[in-house]
Amino acid sequence: MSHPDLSNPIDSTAPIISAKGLTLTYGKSLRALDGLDVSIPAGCHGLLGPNGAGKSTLIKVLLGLLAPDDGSGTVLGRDVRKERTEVRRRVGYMPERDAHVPSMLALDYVAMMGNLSGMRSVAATKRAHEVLHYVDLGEARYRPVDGFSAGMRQRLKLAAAIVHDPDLLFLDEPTNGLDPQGRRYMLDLIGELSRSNISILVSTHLLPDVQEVCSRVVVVNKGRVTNEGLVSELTRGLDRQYDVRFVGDSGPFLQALETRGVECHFDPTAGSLRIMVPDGGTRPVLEAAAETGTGLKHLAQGSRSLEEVFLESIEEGADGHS
Amino acid sequence: MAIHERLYSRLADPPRARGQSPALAISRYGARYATRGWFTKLVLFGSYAPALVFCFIIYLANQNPDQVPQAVSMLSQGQHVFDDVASITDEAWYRICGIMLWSLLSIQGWLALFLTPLVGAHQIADDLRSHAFEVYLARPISSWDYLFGKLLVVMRPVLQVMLVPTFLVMIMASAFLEGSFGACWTMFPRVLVAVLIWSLVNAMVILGISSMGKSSRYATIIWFVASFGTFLLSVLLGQTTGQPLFDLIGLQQNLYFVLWEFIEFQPFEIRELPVLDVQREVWPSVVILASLTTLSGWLVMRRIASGRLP
Repeated sequence: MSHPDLSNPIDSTAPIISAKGLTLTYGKSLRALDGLDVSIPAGCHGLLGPNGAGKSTLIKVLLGLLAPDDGSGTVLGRDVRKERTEVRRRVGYMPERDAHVPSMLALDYVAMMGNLSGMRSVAATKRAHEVLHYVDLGEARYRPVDGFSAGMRQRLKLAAAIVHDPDLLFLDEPTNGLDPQGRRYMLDLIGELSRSNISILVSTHLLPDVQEVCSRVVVVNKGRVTNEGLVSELTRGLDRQYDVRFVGDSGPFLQALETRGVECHFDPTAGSLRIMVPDGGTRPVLEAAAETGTGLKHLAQGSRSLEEVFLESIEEGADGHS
Repeated sequence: MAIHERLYSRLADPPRARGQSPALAISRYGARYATRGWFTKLVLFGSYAPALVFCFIIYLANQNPDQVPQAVSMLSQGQHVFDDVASITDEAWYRICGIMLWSLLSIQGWLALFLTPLVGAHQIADDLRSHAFEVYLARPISSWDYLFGKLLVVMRPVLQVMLVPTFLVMIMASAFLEGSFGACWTMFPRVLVAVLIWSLVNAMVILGISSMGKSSRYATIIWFVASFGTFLLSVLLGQTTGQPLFDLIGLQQNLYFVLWEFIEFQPFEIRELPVLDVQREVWPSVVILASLTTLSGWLVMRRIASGRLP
């Protein structure tokens, strides 16, 4: 279902977030954003980076909470410097920390957030009931927020972030402090929201979460984007890289491979073999196996985990920076 | 926990720029929780007791016409004595009304002094402590929305304590004391303005104090130092030096002076008290209150600016 805000339509072809040369320095020397350039299309995206990389600062700049020293940025086509209020009207933000009004009932809290986003009070209250049911807090909506568990608080923050039906959601560590069941539930919710035509930017340290719900990732390190792209593309292995599992003596087999120009990385404890074949394809592997009488159980193009991609990006970023 | 069964639904009518006023939203939800404590409720309901006594005297006078002069004498704190109702002139009614309202508002002012920290000390301090400030910051509201919203939260119960009982007594007097309404009706807008100023100053000062830290307890202590403490200090200095000019130090005394001016109260009967310099002009009090209000507003805005609301 497309967003029916006809008075202020969103150009679906334009990036939902774009930044050019964003620079922000805390104090005199701590450079949190260092000429950051990024262009993010609609969809569900992961914002990755080590501690102090500039992820939270980037979100705060995009929300208009911090003014950059230099550069420009737009969110949903709105300038983050000049149209902060309009940006916030169309963006939902789920902060990392617990942020609730003490002793307030969950329903009132979510309804107030809707009210503050410009909804009429009756509509905000009705919508608060809906979203609290949606995040499975329907039974607890008349309870004070103070007594909520960590999982309930996370879902309450999500409800508050979506009460005004934003076009873009910033989720800061949404699965933080959740047990496996709660994490599973939160990821399901995020997945479904992204399928509801809401763009999402998830800032997290938990790479499996990103791999599960995000189609794209942006890796930030030392205030710069060091890698970005589709998760499927980033985790795809190099063209000549293969994973091999075999039955037989490893020594002669590895020797036969190396004599054919195949680069081998063998882990004897795990019994896994990763090879880099020459340009001719997998033929040398099959020949080596036939020659040494080794039985091949598995031969497939290798893939990289997101963690590997992340660590490589961080290292590249560090090298590039130095 | 089962996988949720309900699907997310988009809004048919998303919020627009000219929707609900954020200040009113903050005020409505804030007020709902500001007066929840049992002690706050006790002060709120207890604040009607003096007014009920006044109403009772007026009602009794209405039931026994012979005793109207006696009741009028009581309401004017013995300053006006008449043999019969017919001899009370419009001018006398006006002065009697001023004394009556002065007596009542003096009591209500002290109640407001206790109520203000109960509803106001935690307003910004709690937002800072619980990180709720971050939630407000991420919404499309301005610094002024936040400030006005919080002001209304505190002003509402203070007005309830000061204005409602006063108007109740004035309406009772107008209804039951013949001839009083024609002479005293101008008191209604005068009292309204005076009480609005009183509650605005109280609310702004407590918000300024509340924005100074994350502890509502410390905010309460600072409030009592600023209000009750300065009152005691001014009385002490006045008594020791014999100079009533020290009433300028007290927040409460300055508020009384402004109220006094609005209801055109003639302070002949408290001239003996050294805690108030009845001879002086009102403008020093106005300047002091305006400065305090401005300073408190600046403190709040500075705190908001640190989080960068637009």
